[in-house]
Amino acid sequence: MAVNPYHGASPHRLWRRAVSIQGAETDPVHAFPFTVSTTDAVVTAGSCFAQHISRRLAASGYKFLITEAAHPFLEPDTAAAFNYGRFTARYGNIYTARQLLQLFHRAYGTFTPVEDAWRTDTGAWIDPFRPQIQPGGFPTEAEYRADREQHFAAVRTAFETADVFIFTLGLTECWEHAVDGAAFPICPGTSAGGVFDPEVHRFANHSVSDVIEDMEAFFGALRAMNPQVRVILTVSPVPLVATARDAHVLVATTYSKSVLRVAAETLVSRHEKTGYFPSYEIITGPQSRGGYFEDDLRDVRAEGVDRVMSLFFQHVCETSGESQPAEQRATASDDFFERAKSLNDALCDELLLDDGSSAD
Amino acid sequence: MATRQLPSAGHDTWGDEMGSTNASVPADAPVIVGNSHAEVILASAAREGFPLRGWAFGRGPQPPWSEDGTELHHAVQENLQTGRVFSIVGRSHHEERGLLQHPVPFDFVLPEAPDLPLTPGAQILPYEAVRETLLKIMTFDFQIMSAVWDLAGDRMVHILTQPPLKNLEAIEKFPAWDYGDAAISPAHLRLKLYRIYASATRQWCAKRGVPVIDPPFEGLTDDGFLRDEYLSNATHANVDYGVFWLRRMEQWL
Repeated sequence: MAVNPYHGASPHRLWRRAVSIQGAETDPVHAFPFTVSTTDAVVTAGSCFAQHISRRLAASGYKFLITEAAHPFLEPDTAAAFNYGRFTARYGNIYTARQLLQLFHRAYGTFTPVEDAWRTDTGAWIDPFRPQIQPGGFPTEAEYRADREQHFAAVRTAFETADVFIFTLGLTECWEHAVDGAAFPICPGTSAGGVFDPEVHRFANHSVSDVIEDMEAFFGALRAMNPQVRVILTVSPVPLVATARDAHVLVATTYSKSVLRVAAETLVSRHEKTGYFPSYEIITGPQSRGGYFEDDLRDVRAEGVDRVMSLFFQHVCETSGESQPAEQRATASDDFFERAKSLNDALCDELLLDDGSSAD
Repeated sequence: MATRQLPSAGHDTWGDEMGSTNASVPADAPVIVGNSHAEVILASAAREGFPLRGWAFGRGPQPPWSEDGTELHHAVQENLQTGRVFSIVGRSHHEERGLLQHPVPFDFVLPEAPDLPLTPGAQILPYEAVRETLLKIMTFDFQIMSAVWDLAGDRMVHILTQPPLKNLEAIEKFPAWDYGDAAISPAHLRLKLYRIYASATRQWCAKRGVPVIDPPFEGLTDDGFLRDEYLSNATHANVDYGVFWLRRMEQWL
């Protein structure tokens, strides 16, 4: 029999064996270049799908790094409403490679966008690059600017101390400022804030080369600060909510995801300590038969996230990731407010000792 | 004469004892309800001979509620049926959260006073998040105030508690309390938290048409803190300041 490159190929290379027969049990992960240990500081960023990764890592005993944590003063549900803990820092969703690169430069003071703030009808301040980070916006300019400086410090800490940086590429379409190319996460003038100005805000649909160029610029900047950081790229399986192109949104989605997938593949092939994890294929591949999407055919069901994370822990992580809450170490601040409450109660009770007979 | 004797026994006994002691005050005397700050006013009233009935909560398993927690204790209800009702309900949760400096210092920008200092190096919290947290903690106080208002209606007048003290040394001189290794929070932070309490309370009252007695200015510094000489302990005014409150209360009789 003539020998050819497919002769004797490993099963994972053959559709019939790796997908047709496996069906829903298809495991598309093969030879991930490195392992994430439970002691690695993991930073996450990206589109909305990336939040699932953050949550599952945190719940599974991995060291999901949070550099902009909620202060214990805040009640937990209030902290969550103000977007603490969704990602490593309070940057909100980062949908494009351009946005990620600009976040880096903004955090290090090498890029200051011209359109620096939006105002609401009630006078609140909105960060155009984190428009939904603060419910209702920032009530004062002073808080807006203080919070952003604090945020940038947290971003710098994240980039500089990450052992692993996981970035989920979400979109190629975005709106940019015509003067300085600042990429907004959401088109100005939507309910998130801002005023759309066709003279100033231009549509961009990034190409493969755009995404590669932005990501390589980001890699260079990141690794200049943190040479040992390992990067994991994923592509979000979540379709576009809407396209600004005159095209069917399904077609526009396929284009965007294709661009991101090609860019991710190219980046991994060019850079060491960089891996691609196939969340996109796990959710959208024919083996899932669409079963991982909700009824709206857009949101990913919990079973889909479970499948992604199960394979992530199996192939990328040191342990299986079965729910093991991170080691709880009591800190001085854990029971602080309980002790403060006890003191306040005692001070209130002390009043009973004073019969008011003396003003001294 | 005003009394402020509180029982040490259980719930029903508390109600009965409060009722019996209030019985020594003219039935048409105004009544004050509240937590520990009511103690201050009652003590001032006792010293000044100001006829005042009193219900100072803070004793009993679920003061001041009935056994099933659905309404005010019957003894409280009985004494709120007539006459002017002064409320100083509130357990100074802003002090509870802000008196001692947290190991991770925090601060925030108060929109009504954005020029108040920010603590250098402190974690800046969103004002709305701070306010939301304090309001959640104050929920129990508002529930009591609602119950009082349900009974007293337009006879109710609410008294704001006093602002914090500015002088840290004056607070720290109270030796009875062990602050552990915690320092007292900066004055500007304590004032900001107080002002959230005050504005939230004023808003609650305004919604219901309940008049508010602001902290008497005679006992305050020019920048809105309690003067040193009117402090009873780290979080309470003394009976001398209570007299200022009495003068304001008289205007509502």
